[in-house]
Amino acid sequence: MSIVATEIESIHGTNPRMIFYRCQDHLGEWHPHGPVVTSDVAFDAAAFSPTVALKVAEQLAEAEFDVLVIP
Amino acid sequence: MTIYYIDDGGSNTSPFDTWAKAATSAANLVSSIAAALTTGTNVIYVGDDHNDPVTGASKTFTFAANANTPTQIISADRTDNNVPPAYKLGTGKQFRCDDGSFQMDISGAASFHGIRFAAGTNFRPLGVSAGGRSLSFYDCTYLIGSTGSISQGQTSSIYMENPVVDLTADGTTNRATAVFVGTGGPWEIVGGSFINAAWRSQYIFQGGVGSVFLIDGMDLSGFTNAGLPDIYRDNTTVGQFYMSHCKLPSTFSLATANNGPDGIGRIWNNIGSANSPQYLATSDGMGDLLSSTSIIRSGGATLEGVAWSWLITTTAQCFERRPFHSPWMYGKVLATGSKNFDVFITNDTADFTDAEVWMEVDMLGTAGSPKWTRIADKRATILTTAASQDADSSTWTGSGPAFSHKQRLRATGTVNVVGQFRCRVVVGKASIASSSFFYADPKPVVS
Repeated sequence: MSIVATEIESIHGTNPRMIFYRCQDHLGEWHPHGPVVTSDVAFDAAAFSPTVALKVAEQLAEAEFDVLVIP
Repeated sequence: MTIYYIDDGGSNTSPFDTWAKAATSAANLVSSIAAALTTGTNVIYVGDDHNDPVTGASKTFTFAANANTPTQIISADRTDNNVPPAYKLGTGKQFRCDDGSFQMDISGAASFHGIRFAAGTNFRPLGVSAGGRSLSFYDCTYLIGSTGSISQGQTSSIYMENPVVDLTADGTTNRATAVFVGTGGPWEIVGGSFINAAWRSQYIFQGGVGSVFLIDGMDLSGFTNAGLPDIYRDNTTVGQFYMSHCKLPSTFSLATANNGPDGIGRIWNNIGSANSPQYLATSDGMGDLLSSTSIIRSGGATLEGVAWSWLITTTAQCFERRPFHSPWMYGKVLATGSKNFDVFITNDTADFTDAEVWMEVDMLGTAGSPKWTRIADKRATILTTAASQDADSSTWTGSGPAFSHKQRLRATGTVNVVGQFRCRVVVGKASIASSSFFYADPKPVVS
């Protein structure tokens, strides 16, 4: 399962901010992630997107593996 | 009850009942007196600067078999010949197997005080399988390996007070390994701090089938890795996680994935880089709730003088007869009679129907009885045509939402006893995304 797109789904509040992401897999399905909660005004939500993609990809890979081993 | 002494400066002379005659290791003590560690009423004093000899292998230390009578292991001042000697936190590696990629297991029932453990990989407090609270640790330090964890190991019950987890072995390399791994059973940790936590990059707590983490008063502010480790990770198993009054870095991520069924999931309250009494988050397999002090309803709920609200999202597994529930909101009815119980909501997608979002109220509906009566404003039956919830004209403020669909949930019933009521928002609609900006005001209004 690979991630083909990551975007910021929504941002709530100012301080702290709650940032929600979503990632699209190669089958076209969207997977939510978050929130990232931050009181750091310097936190770059967009720049964090690749890390989110890695997290979601890992989560999906683990779930896929469990489907294989659990009858 | 027998008292034994362990210290690397002792003469290793039976009966090991003074510092001078102390056993030079736990293994030597057991070699001479087989039941020294496993007799539940025994007390073992370990020299504060004692260093356990390494053996080039993993180690298992086995204690009492019965959780009701644990062995006591106490770090004490080896220069103090009083009985008992003065309590002194361990500075040596009092139980160790860190001379290679070796794991340390603590089996059986025991109570540790001020002890310093050093493992090459994992430290595993196994306890007594399904034996109730069999292991207690007070003011202990845990040095674990660079890919190591403190792992429950089996279904058991563990209590830790003021643990210091030393992650120096991580060096300056990212480590994608959980610090705490639950396997099954309750694991309560009060207090706690970490050394060199900045290189753990994936998650801090990992749940397992039947695991229950109860975390209070912990300082996690050192987990500042750019990978933003999740506080909790469930994988695909069902665990529970409760965290309260903990310090976090200025940026944090709560959790990834939650496969828990309704009502079994995670709760966080008052967590953050500063005191945040309004911070509340809940999560289960049906949805998530997150508090906000930025999005508020005029005249709505306040907590310690600060206005707040609840953001709700749901998963694809949420539906009408398997809904997501908010926490209970409590209040008091001051007079008997017919009452309207109102909760106010808003979202930016569409009006909700009474098949999608409703409220449940438990109130004292039977005269002279403490029994609650439940009323709700969901549709009468699963086959009743769904109707939109009432429109509302409240004022909501905050950056992000448009507040385009403001509604009121109202349940009506007859109160026959003056007293407490409780209510909650129930959501039976799947896949409500954060971009719907679905907020609820956690201040019920009774009229």
